[in-house]
Amino acid sequence: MSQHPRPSGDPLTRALGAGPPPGVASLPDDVRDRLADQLTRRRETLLAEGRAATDHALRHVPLPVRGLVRRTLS
Amino acid sequence: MSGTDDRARRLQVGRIARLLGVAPDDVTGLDGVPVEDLRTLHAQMTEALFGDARAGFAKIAGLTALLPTAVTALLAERFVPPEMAARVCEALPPEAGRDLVARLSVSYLAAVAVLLDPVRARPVVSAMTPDRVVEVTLVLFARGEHPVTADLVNAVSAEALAACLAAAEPYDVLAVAPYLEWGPALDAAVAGLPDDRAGALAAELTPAELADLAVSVGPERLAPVLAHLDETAYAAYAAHLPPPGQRRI
Repeated sequence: MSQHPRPSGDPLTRALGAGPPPGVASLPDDVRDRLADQLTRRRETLLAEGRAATDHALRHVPLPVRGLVRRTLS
Repeated sequence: MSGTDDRARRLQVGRIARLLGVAPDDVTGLDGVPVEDLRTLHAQMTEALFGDARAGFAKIAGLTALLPTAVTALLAERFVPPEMAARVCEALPPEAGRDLVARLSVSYLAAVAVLLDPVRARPVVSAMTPDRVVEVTLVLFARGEHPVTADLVNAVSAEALAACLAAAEPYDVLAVAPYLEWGPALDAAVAGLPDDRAGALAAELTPAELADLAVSVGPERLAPVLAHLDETAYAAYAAHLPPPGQRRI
């Protein structure tokens, strides 16, 4: 398996926030790019779901501690 | 590539796919990547996706000084995604991990268990009480998560392992057996299988299924079950066994 250079602009490195392990860094560009794209889309989906889930969950926190929890999480 | 490496690689690719919210077939091109690198990639992806939630978990954990632990556990379940909870469990000292696990609901714990790394989580998983392990195992069996369940029970205490085996339905035993790591604890659990459970396996599995189970675990380990077969049923079972040279074990 040939070693591919890992340029600083590598989409997978950007998506991970760190260089991938050697066995992944040496994969063909299209495989790494697909992983980066899947990871980026997953992060966007989770962010949207997380905002909605937090709003929903706060409604289930007992009223006496809701303010405390809201301040803690904000 | 050994069969064990191939199985470990498929499990890691399955975990990455689950993390990415895609089907395992959508994660392609990783066939030659070492298992340890796949494990590292999974950890990096988890951090990229849920690293921000770690601060939220720390804040919720801080509430334990102000709120009853049951309320704190409830909040953790509501605000901490299972993926992050899994990473937290892997990083906790075993005793602390066992205490946390004891407070979480079974459904949430099952969601966490599916996402645990079997190597990194082994200290915490091995500290789980047998009752807790059985509860989670039965939920995972009901969801058809047999390979993941095998990873979990491969790491539990010998007592928990025996309890799981005794609680499992025959078809779940059949489905999980190919993924189990055989060692002294599992041998002891099978040898100590309660007579009624051994009888249930003999009664509920077909001769062909019993032969499949024997191939997975080794016919000699199945002796307590086979002892419940009458002569005709045993002959039917034996007829389905492949020749010794073609058996995996």
